[in-house]
Amino acid sequence: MSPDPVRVEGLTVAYGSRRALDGVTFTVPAGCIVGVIGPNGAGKSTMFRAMLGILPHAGAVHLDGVPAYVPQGDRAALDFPATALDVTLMGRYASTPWWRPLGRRQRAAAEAALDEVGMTPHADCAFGELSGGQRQRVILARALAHGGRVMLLDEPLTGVDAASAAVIQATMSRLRDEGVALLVATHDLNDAAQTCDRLLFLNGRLMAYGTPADTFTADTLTRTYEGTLLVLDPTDGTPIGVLDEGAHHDHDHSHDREHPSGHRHEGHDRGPPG
Amino acid sequence: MIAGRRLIAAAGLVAVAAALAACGSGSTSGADSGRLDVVTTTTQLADFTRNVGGNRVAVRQLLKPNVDPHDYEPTPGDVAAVSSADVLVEHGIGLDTWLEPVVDNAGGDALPVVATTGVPLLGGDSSEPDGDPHVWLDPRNAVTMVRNIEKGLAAADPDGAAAYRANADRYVARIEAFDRELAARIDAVPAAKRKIVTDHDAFGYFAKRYGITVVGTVIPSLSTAAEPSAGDVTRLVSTIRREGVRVVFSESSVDPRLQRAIAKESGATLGAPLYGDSLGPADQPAGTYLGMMRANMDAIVAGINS
Amino acid sequence: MSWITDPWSTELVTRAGLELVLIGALGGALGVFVVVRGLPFTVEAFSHAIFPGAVIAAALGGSIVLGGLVAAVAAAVGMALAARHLGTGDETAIGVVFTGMFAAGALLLAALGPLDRDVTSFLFGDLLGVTRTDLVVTAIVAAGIGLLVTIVRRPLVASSFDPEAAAAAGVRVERLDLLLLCVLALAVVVSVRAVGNVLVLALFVTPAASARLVCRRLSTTMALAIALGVASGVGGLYVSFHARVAAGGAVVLVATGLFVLTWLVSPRRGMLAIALRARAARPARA
Repeated sequence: MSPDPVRVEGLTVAYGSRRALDGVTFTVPAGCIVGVIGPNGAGKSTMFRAMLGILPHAGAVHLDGVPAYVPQGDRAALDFPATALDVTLMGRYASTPWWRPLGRRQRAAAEAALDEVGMTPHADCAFGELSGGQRQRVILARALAHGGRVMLLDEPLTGVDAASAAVIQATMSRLRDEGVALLVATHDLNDAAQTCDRLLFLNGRLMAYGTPADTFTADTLTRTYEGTLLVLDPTDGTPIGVLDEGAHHDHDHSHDREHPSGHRHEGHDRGPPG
Repeated sequence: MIAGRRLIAAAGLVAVAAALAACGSGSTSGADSGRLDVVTTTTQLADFTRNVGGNRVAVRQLLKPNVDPHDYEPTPGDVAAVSSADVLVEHGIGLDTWLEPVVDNAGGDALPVVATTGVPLLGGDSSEPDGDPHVWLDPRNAVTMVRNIEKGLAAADPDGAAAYRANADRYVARIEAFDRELAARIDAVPAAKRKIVTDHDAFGYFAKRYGITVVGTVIPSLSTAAEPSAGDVTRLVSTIRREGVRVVFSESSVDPRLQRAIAKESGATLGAPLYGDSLGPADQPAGTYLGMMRANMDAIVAGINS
Repeated sequence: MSWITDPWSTELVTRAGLELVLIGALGGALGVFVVVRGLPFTVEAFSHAIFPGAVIAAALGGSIVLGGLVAAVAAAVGMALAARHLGTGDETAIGVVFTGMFAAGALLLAALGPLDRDVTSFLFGDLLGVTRTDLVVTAIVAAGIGLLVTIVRRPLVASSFDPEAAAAAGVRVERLDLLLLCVLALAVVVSVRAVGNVLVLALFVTPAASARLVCRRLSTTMALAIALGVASGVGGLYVSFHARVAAGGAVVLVATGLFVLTWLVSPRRGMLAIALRARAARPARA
């Protein structure tokens, strides 16, 4: 039996004496979507960056191949001269040596990726002129073109219109069905509980890891979102979500634009930074 | 990082202290030794003054050798020197216009001497509207300047008038002897060969005195500030070829790259550098007026004979 | 039609023209990355930081180009370190480093006395004095930079577009940034000799900025930027020849004129196109 494509052991990221991540340990089997959940500054993006080797860390990280990555938000250069297809093709860069041109097969792979996210009509549009949701889809296409057995997505549905969100969800499901291991950081708790195979609750330390049935409990939520408001379903008292007052402020990254959420989003709904 | 910030702050303090110290160092004045304090602008004037004043004067020049006087920027040290001077010798004809704010700021009671008083002028151009300032390159004008300086020193120090006159007489004799020697050497060259190209238009008086034709200049101006265009350079090259000019001269304070390229393109030779705006460094032969004129003479005679 | 062939009648001006072609192409190609990555201030800084290196090299009797290059690379490293360790913003660090270096150069020059005159022409450009050797050096440098950029073009593009995703995909982003800075430093040193340090920034910014107004893709932007850079160089040479103005200024004026022209007529972002679209969108009068 081949080992799990994602194996993390004792992952620790420290800034001086402060620990953004402390001894996080988990594995993800093939064909599994893991929802990574935690409040503002809990270390979700930090964990992804450490796993990708962008951030120095202690502990062991074993990933099957080079993972595909959908980074958080809109920090890519909007006025960079590139079309949607150009951006998607960038996913093929890592696997093509410099002396080999990006031939027909590479282009076909990129076009297929664009097609899966429904952006074929916009293939020749300037990336910066697309809407937020369309850009997010193209970024996902880039990750698809990259390929691989592991994909990390940092809040792929945040601030994205409903149509784009549906496409992104469908793509993630398709990947899971084909055996890819996905980690998705998200704020949409309800949605995560319904669509993810496992949930990983993070707040500096790993609070809980398992199926939604096992982990999506009032106790876990309280411990993870310590000191924030819990929202309960009025009919049967089961927890629906939390109102995040931003209790835990880690200042290790400024692009965590997390916002209070307890329900699905429509349209471009970016809340103020916590 | 705190350590890094402290280091930067310390370095900054040291830099400020050094700057203040540099500002403060004024002129070495001969006040304590009883000599006349004379400040001159150009190096040529300093040399004239030393020759006329002898050891009755302590001379300080503001311009360093090989520094272009056309765009010199005065320093606080210059202001200090002027304020404590007894005599201030300036050139005139727009060559030391930068001196005005220095004098305004310095105060003091230096006797002003305009060395070029009474010198017949050639016309100027847009960059030198008062006339062509390079008068000293004709030795006869140098004599006039020496006499003006002699008068100025005598006015400031009447006790030394006799000494100044004797010194000036001796010096003028040397200049006139040089003038005759140079005229003879150039007369020996056939008139048709006496064509040169110089860097900027500094040699008008020289050329007029000795019957040389400056066919063109690399920089189309009396001042060194102008930059030649591709059109100017091409026209100069064809002029050189057409007139049969054999030599192109660069200048001591200017880079000769362009002159070398023009010479090569037109088939002329690149002559030794001429001194057009200033004397050479003090420790070299061209550091005195006569030495400088001799160096120019050797370079020009060799060039037109080639 | 002799006005077309006249400038090329002397080898001197022809050399100047070839130098401008090489530098225009170099500036156009690298300029795309300068503009997209927000590096114009850095390029300006390099052109000033060169000074102390050139002065020291001249005093020691060594190669001024090498001295200038050492100073520029030192500046690049200094800027990176200052930004990282002193907690200042990038632009602040750049400003502090290069003004300090330029002042140091000025003080050195005053202290060491009037030097080998080469220093001044190096700083303020001496295009018409370009020798055959200079031309060969420029050609070799341009070819070398072209080869280097070709080899790293994909990581460079990826990290210019999205540094974090590029790092995740295995690109050594910090090293690549430093490599680009060093390449820019070398390109600036070679270009300063031709057009002077005041104007060299224009060669790295204006043609690329013009191309960006027109093109949507990186490959076409770079091709157009190179073409505009070469056109500015050659056009400037013609202006300098026929209108009898200094070459460096003429080149920059042509480059700027091309920018204004592009800005007016660009089909996507040009003023004319925008005005026409606005007119078409207005409802018809009754």
